[in-house]
Amino acid sequence: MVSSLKKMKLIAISATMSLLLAAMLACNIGGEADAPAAEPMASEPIKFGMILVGPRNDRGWSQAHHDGGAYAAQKTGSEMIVMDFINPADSPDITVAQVVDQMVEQGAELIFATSEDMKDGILEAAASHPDVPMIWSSGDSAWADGDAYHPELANLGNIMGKMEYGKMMAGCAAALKTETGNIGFVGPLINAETKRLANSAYLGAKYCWEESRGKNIADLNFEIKWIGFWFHIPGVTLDPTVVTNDFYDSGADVVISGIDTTQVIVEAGKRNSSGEQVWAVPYDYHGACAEAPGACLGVPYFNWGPSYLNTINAVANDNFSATWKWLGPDWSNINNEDTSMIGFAKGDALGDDNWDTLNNKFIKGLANGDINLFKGPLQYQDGSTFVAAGEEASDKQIWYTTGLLEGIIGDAGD
Amino acid sequence: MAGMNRFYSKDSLENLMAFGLALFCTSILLVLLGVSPWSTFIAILEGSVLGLDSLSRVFVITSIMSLSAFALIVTFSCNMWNIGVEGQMMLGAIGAVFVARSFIGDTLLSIPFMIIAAMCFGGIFGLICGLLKTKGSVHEIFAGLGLDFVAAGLIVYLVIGPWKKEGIASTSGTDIIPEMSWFPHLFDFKFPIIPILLFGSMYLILRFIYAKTSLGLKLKSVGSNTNAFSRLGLSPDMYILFGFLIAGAVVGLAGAIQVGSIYHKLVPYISGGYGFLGILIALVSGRKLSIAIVVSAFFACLVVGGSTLQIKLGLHASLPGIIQASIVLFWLMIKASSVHIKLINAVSKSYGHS
Repeated sequence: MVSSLKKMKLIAISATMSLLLAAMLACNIGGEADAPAAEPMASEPIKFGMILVGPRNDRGWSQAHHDGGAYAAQKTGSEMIVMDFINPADSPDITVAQVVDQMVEQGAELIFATSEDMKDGILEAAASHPDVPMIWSSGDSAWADGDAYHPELANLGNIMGKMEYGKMMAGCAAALKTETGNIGFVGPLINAETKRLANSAYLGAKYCWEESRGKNIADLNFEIKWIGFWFHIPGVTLDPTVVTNDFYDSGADVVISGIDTTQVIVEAGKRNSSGEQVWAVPYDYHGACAEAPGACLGVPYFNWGPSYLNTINAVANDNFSATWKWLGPDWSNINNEDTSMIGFAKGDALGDDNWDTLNNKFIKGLANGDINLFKGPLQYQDGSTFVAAGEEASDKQIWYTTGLLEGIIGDAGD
Repeated sequence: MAGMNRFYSKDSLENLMAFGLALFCTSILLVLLGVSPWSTFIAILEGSVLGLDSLSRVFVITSIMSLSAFALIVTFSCNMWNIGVEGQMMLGAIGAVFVARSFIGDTLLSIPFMIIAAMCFGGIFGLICGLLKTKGSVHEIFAGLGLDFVAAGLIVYLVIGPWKKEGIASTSGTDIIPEMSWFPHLFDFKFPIIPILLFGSMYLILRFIYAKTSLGLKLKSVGSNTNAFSRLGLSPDMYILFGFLIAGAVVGLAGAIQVGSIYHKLVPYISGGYGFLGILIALVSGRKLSIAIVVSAFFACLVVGGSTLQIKLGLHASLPGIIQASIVLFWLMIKASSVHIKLINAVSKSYGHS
């Protein structure tokens, strides 16, 4: 009798487990990506891949790309497939070229590789899939006059924004706000792009410090510390949280972020909310100030949507060409989401007077050409000439910046 | 049970049951996370073994994982925990890149010398761990862990220091090595012949050492009974050092594969956590070389197929890691609690087997 009971119990348990397993295998909870809502189409919808170096919701570089792709997908009714965290630290099992292989296998007709770090992988992938159009954002492989031109890769184009203007605005905002005259800049890694952006921030700060506040440049302390990569990788890079706090502890009251993620504004927010008079200028994403509105002077941001929309339309209409595009703001309205590649969102902490100076004098001057900060004489830290007196820097000079400007404290990576 | 043994061994039946239960428990976890186990496992299967390109990736990663597990099995046989396996793999990668960046990097000699250098660098780093244990009385776990950090730091130093790209200071890696130093592959689907040859030959060599040589016997003996080993007039320290030397050389090869077949440059964390995964594989496989290959292949499928989950199902990038870790965790829990054996016995009794 006991044996029969045990047997029945066992059968009952086995049957329950089988049912549970069958139910779990049959159900499809959370297994599908949300499809973007269909909108009126500018062309035939396509399927495109978006490769992000960080998380899609980082409130920084990667989210700016993701949102740009989502904007373009919505406008065209296209489908975006996304892979984020594609970097050797987070995804050691897969390379950019392998991600492209998978996306193409899934039917992607266009690929966006959205980091300077993806250079080697996307060059390899473009060669492996010559019939698939690709964009390497921030790259220069399609620039016929560039130093890294790859004419053989007729399917690989580049898009980048002229963030130099955005960084000038960031520098100006910092100079207008600082009370101590000490501005910190948390830089990512050292390359031509990051050096030209750091220089731009310095030039913006220098201009507003001298012209708007009437102060002596010798009294402005502008220092850069590089963490080693676009975002924090524990054990590999410096910790941007620590670097930001070091700046504040050593007397800086404004820190400008040059990295992909939000540590700078987060730390500024913590200190600001505890009563310290410190502020920050985040980077990349139009909504970055939401991390700490009370400490945010504003954010220079990329608006990738319009350029990605144009690329999708070009692919859909079969007239894609591998070109290098370095797109500036729409000066008629730099915050127009349908037209401007670069924008600057005002932060609550900047104040109305400073915003008036920044918007109606500095930005207006950049827009109408009255202010050209890449005009000589400009010298690097070592005294060598960047732009000779009376000359204006060419795109090539700016893009391939080789050093930090005189007046900046920090390593130029030489 | 005698009748049952005609068709399958007790061990394999137990392992199969433990594996099934581990999958079952992982499926429950997936449901709790709001994910369909069916869709997930099918996507993993499709993304790993149902395509020639992905199958090639499975082979490469199986090679790396197997070599890591082999290295762990060697030191386990000496009753040593080789936590420094990650660092040894990194040193193997450094050795391979060192050759690839040298004057022979653009010649036919490069690949054989990369392999030799990887084994030497990895082996010496393993030996250092052994020396800290035997001569410095530092527990091998702490020595290994410390050496992992040293290796990681050394790579960062090289990447942003002496081997940095011109005008660039970035932890994103060194310049790409010359194409002559890339491990060649066969056919359009990039069949990874060199990694397969490397781990296959290492398997045969280790099998030979443990089955046919006195060295293998002594390595196992020193792990089983150190006192008896000493009384026979043999030096336990020497064979522990041998164990670490061999382990480091073996896993150094995995570092060479990461350089020659995957990255073609030196990047921080080039070991990719495969060393630590090798520890789990060695444990799950019962420290048996041949089973370690099977388990490695399974994990390689999870890794390769798991990477497609984002694209196919829109799942979070961390999910493949959760699945891998869960399967291992549940496997170890099931084995420790013997629940799988109890279940087999209960089923056997219920069907009248004695």
